[in-house]
Amino acid sequence: MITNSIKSRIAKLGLVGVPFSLTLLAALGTGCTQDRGCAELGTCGGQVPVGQWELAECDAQGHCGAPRHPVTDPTADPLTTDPAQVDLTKLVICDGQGLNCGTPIPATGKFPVSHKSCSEDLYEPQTDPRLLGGEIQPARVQAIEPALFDWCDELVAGSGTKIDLEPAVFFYESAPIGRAFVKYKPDDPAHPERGGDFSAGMTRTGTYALDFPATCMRAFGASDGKPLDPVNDPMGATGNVCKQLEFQLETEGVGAGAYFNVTCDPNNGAAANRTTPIARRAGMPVDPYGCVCMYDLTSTGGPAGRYQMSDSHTIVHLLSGGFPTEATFCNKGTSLELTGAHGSYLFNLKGLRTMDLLKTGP
Amino acid sequence: MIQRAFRTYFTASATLAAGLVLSGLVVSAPAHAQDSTEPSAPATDAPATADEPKPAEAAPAEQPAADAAAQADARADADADVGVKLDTKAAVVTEAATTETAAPRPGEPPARYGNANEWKLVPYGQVKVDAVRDSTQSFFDAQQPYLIARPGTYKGEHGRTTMVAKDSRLGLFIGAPQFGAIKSYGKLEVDFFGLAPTDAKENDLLVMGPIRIRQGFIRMDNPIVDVLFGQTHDLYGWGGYFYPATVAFLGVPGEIYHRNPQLRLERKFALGDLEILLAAAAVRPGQRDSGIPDAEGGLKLAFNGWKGASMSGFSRPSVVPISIGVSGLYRWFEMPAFRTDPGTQSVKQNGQGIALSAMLPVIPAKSIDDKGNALTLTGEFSTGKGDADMYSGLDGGSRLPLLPNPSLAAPQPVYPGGIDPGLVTFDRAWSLQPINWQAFVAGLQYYLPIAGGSAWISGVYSQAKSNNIKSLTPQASYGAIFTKMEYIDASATVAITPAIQFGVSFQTLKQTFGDVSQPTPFFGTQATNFPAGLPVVQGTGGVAASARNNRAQVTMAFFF
Repeated sequence: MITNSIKSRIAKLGLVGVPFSLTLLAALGTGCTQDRGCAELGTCGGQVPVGQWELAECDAQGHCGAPRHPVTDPTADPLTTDPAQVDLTKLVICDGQGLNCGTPIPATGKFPVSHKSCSEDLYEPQTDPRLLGGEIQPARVQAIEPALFDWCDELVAGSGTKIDLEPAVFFYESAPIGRAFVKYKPDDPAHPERGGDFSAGMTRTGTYALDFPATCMRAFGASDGKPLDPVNDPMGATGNVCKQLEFQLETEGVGAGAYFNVTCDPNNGAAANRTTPIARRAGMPVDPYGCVCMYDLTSTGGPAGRYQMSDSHTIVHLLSGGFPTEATFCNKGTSLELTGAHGSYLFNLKGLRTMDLLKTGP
Repeated sequence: MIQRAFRTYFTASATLAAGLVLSGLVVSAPAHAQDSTEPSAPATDAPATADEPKPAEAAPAEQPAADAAAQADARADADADVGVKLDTKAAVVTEAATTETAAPRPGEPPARYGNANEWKLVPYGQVKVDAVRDSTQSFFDAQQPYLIARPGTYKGEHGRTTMVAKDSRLGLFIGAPQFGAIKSYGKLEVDFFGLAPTDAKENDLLVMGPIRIRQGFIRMDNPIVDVLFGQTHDLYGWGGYFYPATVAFLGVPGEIYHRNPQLRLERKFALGDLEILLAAAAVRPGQRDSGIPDAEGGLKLAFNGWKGASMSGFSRPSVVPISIGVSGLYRWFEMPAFRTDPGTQSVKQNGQGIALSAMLPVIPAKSIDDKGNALTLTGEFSTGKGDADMYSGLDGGSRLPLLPNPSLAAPQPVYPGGIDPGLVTFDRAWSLQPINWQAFVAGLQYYLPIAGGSAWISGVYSQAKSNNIKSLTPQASYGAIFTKMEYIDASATVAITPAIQFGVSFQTLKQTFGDVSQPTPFFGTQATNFPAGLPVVQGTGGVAASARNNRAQVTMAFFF
């Protein structure tokens, strides 16, 4: 009897628990989303941000717009230190001479990149153009898996005049914004309803490493000891397959994304060259007869159009040739914080969420 | 009168069950790849879900048929406690009913030996409803190891609610009269996770669950060696014995959970309370084009003098002995050479795995009706190569690479493949290599001292990782693979009646991808500033990219 009574109570508990649990289910589910990679910046609004704004300069500690100061920790010198061992917290941002550190120096044309924009880390695999003709997807069928790519990034290193019979393809759309400006012009007094014009320049930058296995470099006939520039200087300097490839990549670094400062070295595990620590850090296995190439990517472009104030802290960017986008802002006079509104990407640039800008001109 | 009513009910059930099972076999025949081996098309995957059969239904696979009837009696006793007088013996179908069910043509009884009343036909199964709320839009019902949508993407920051009754099951146990020393029986079991057509709409996918065969085997027990031929849980991992208690769909990430057609031989020895079970099996090959069946073997020790309570997945708890098991897998792969035109040249590789499993009742249970305060620990450790399919559709996102195109042919030559993804791939030297996985699952379940243990809580922690999937993947695809999964869940279950259970659960799954996060802060734009190199490369922020899915689940099931 007692047992039955207890079980009866459990039964009632279960019946009551159903709606309770469904509520709990909804609550748990809605409240447990992933943390976004880029936190929202200020939304205080303020005056219409007329003027020219550029990305703020920050040091490794996140001190933005701080006075210039030189590299103070020699052990952190990236020229001599294995990047894997660098204590990033001791680095400061400088130009190539180690002199101009800490603030934007657009006049020099060498803008040290440290900044405070934030882009989400979206995995954006390159699209293999060879698949477009070879594997056209029928309607309603998912596109080919991004992991379907070959070990050579399309490179075919042959024994012909040029080492790369078919050049490698690499471009990463989701590279972070290294340098940027946004310029807002005031409204036309005659037509205030149109809003003002704006323009922005964005430079996606980064130093990337590419991994070419030995099979890609040598299986199709390429060999060491050939001229680096067989077309223009067939009797000139020679090099191994990596250096031959370096020369060709350097001269062909155009296309979907511009890349330059290419260096290619054998992936032999030696600590002396530039690429090996990079390769190790990126998780590439050692492959002595293969090559690791590094290149700097700079891809410049940017939106333009008109803008209007949606409310006291939201700007609507009416992009020329694109969908309008909203951004919340906080104009503090000398600095401007922009965030894509409602989870959108800023200026419709994929991955870009926020920009922390300093005023650099009227 | 009541008994007659139930007898009528069971007769009708048996007829219906047999019909459904038979039609299910036909319908689900093309969908034999149970437990999902094609994650490249998740929209059409049948999630490998579903927990292990409850003890009453697992019993026939392990014991003589007569034991099943005894268990049915016990279940009937339990039912009587809640005021339902269930005459389980009615499940033993009458001759007339059997004849009606199995008759191939009207008016002609099937060829059959023995007395009709010596045959046993026991329908069993469950009606189960699951309501699931996910924090990302990455999964359908089970948390299959598809890639979790990343934060910063739409699917990664928006949730999804799924409600399904597809984990309902229908099974049929058939016991034949003993023939000499041979006791023979068969088992058919289906659920509704069959593959949907590729153009199925969301409504079709979730509401119209096609039937899928879970188990279908013949078993012959005799004094020399027991023989099982058919589809059931793999011997690798001792499927069915060591599953953790959870409201979540099985298998949980990192758990060996797979069913396969197989020919299995078992021999049981008893030394007092110690029971030793040896088994070996020839199993459907992981790659049919290898031409050689997989080999599986195992040893299980159980001590019947120490028993505890255990719920396999979300099923009715049972009292089980303290047990440990070791099992192994060995398999063969053979594929065309990685060439545009390989001719008849092939490359070969082997896969293998070993698993250790344990069921440890820390605080024993007195009986199934008095299991309050019982505490049981379950565990499984496994390591292997080329065995990803044993983990419920795991592939880590790995795919065979494209062929290089030295002749610049258009269209691009396509490597023929001929194997499910995630088992093997071609490395940077174009050699065939198996993908390694190592995993463990730890589960704890505690039966509250309320109403004989009619309410209980449980938790699971599991992890799976691969030490070579990244090195076997082209760099451009690092972001499309994951190298590690970590899973945690916490569940609470109450048996409203002995036949109805209600459970709630919170589950969280984290995947670590092959690429790493962007550097913050970001140094330098022009290498001329730092001629010897910048301390930055793609994704060298130092933190591996990852994503997480949180899930809340409410489940109710009626077991019969």
